[in-house]
Amino acid sequence: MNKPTGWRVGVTLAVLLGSVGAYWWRGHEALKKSPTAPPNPTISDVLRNGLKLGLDLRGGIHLVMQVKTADALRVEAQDTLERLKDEGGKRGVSVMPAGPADGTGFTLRIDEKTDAAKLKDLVTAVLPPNAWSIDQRGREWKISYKDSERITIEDQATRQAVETIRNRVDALGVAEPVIQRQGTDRIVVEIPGVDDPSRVKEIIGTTGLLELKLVDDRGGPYPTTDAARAAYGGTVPEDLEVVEGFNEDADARTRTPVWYVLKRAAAVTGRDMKNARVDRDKFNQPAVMFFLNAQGALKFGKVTGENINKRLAIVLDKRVQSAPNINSQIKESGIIEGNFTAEKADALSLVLRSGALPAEMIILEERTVGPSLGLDSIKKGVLASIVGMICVFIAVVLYYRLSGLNAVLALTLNALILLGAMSYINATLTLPGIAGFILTIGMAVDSNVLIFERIREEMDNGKAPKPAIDLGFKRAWGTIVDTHVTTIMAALFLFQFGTGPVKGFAVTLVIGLLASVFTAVFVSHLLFDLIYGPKERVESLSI
Amino acid sequence: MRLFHKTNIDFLKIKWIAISLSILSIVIGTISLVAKGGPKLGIDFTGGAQIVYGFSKTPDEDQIRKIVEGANVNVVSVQRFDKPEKNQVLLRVPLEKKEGRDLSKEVTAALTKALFPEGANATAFDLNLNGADTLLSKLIADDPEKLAMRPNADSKVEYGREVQALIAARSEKGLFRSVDEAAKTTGVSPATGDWLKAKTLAGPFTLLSAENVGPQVGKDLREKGTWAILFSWGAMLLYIAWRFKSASFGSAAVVALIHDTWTTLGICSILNVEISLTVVAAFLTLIGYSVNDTVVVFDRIRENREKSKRTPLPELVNTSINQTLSRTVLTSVLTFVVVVVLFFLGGEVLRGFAFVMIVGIIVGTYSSIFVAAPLVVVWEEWKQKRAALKASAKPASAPAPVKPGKAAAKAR
Repeated sequence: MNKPTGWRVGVTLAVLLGSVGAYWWRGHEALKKSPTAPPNPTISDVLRNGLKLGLDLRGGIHLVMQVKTADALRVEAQDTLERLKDEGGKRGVSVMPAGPADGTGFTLRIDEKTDAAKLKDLVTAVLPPNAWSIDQRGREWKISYKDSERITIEDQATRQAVETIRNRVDALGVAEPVIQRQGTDRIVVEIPGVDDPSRVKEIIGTTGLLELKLVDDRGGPYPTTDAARAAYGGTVPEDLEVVEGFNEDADARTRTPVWYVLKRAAAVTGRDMKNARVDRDKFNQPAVMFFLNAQGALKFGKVTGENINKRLAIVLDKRVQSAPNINSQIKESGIIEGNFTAEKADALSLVLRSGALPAEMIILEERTVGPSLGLDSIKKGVLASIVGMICVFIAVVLYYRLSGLNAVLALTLNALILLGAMSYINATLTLPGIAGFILTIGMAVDSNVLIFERIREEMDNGKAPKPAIDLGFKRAWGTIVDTHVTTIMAALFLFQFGTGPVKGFAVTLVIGLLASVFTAVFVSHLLFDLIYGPKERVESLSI
Repeated sequence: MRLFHKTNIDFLKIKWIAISLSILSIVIGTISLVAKGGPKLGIDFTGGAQIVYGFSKTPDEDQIRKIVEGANVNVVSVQRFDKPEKNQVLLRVPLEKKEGRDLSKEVTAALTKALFPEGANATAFDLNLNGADTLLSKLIADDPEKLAMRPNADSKVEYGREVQALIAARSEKGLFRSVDEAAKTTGVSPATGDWLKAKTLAGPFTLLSAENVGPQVGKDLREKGTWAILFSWGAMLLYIAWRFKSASFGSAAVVALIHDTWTTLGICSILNVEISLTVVAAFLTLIGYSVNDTVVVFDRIRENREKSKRTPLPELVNTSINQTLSRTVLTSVLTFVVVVVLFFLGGEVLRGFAFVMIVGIIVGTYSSIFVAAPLVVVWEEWKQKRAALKASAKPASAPAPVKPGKAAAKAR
């Protein structure tokens, strides 16, 4: 039996103060950052803000999105094909694509008139050989991405999508959003406190590609795609395309789909945009005003100047929003009308300001928890934790009496360390995490039980109380290590496997179990020493 | 208080009964699993959607089903969620073949159209369906307090505070029963209150949660979950085999572990418990817990073996189980109490988790007493018998080799 030495008391108190202090400090920090904090926070305000809550408790939206990288690959291939055609035109080599480019590359057609050697020279000059491979198969040359190039483009597209989404989420002005890339083409977006999934999805998921294209002179719009094609004798020429739009009756608020025939090449795109904001159209309806940068203004001015009295289509994400007449030369700004509500116009201007996504996004997984459900979960979790702890405390005191009280103190410290540590490392508390908290209390008591049973056994074997205590702690130690290693190992696999809430559970469990080694062995032993150490002779133990 | 004082129960006497019982329970569980085509997986693993709505009045499940199906959304089930007085409904929608359909939006739109036609109008603004963000942008646009006229007012901050108050009040109440109720919220100015009454509506339901898991994510999670369980089994086997320097201890512990996991899975299958992400978390916790329980007994066997090398193994094992019995039972009871509390008070989301832990603790405690330690005995006895058989068989088989090639190799 040891005398209760000062350093052991010191360490215990330091850990206690450290845990409570860390929690308190985090609570204050969180309140300081929170825009909605009351001016004079009470103790309960601080306590409530000490832990970062997961989406399942505070409400919010969790999205896993996939970047359709094939889109980006196709666009890049199409651009490359255009460049090849341009360069061919300069050199007098005709480049004939066998069809539009796709996600793997494009195909060139060869006929009797083709000078294969010249074409080959052109292709090798324009296309870097480390990016493209050429497969000459008779009358068709298949030009496709090399793997390294494909990976680079996919990577760039995903990175750009992450950046764009970050800009958009930041513009929403929510606190602590998470935007993370996952694997090659997935992006995880977590926005706490947002309770309006459809708006968030609209803002994040809209590609936001703005293109200004001239409407072909022949007229239109047409009621169906077939009608549009029929006007051109069945198929529209290669440099034109048929794009869906809508006809609008401003009073009745009805929309009927129509089809426009537009020049395929855009006069100006969203890449040349400087800014966008909500404005009003001529009917005083909300609309979005956009401003072009110097380069865009130059191009736009040229096109509008040359095409006065023709129509210009404003195409957003491959749909015609409107096709106004060009009355005079326009340089740097334009207006997008589309019978928007105020919210829609606001969202669109935000999307345009943040730039277009490099490719379309699809939502693979969505989890939204409304604030009221989160609040309900917290209430239930806290109640279950308190009742569970009280049950364990009562049972332990009944069974082990004074030593049981020792265990209760150790468990209480365990709970405080767990809360303090989670707060300090900024771990997120989730609903399963609360379950982990309760379970930790149930499992941490195991170490106390192992030790106390061992002490009882040693006394049964005729040991005096004081040596029995020491032996009990010593002999139980190996077993305590084993039980902790197994449980923590399982929790680590859980962490590896889990998504948000489940990870929170694993974190809570691991911290709680680690803390229980300290409290059940170190602190509990110290408490025994404090009670029985100073006495010369101890006749019996209250165990 | 002492419950198991100096017990001397002969657990090994009934080892074959216990082992048969375990095999029986595993077989029954497996039959249920096979008959039902595997465990009942939740949308986390199958993909699909699950949407919870809160209503202001008692909802009619049949009507809701008809409305949603009328909007071309397949429905697996419409059922009440949580306590009946909360008027909550859980809708399950099967997996869509194509990724990316916005089901919660479609279902909400269909319900609005049928139950609250005023809300389906394009200009209508339903306070119970819109979030803080949309409400704020609408308030700023309409500006009922005429803040734009005042030089020092930041409308985002001013209206932001009122919106916060409104959303907090709605969360507390579940949903607003009327716009008047919303306008009376403390922290909302009279001008904004009038605006709420004039320009907004309070629909009969609100979206509480929506989960939509696509086929890819479901498949990923299924694979990840299976691997996590298999790897943790393997890790446990390695740890125990290393710690006890014995394959028989390691194997016995892992057999007990697989027994616990499988029996619990079987019981879940019989009782139609849905396997969600949190339930898998419970299974992994259970794996840790089950080994934990077994290791305590094994540790004691090892300790006793070092103390008295002469004592035969069966006696040693039996003494060890008896010595650790009170610990095993007490710890199990305490953990059990905790998960029972969780089951009853922890709410709907944690119920599956708590259920698996309840079953797992019972099965795990049983297996560490009746299955794991006796298995070590069975294993060691079998090894001894085989060694004895080999020893007696060797002199007889040596002079008459049946397979000459093998005998020749041995001779060399």
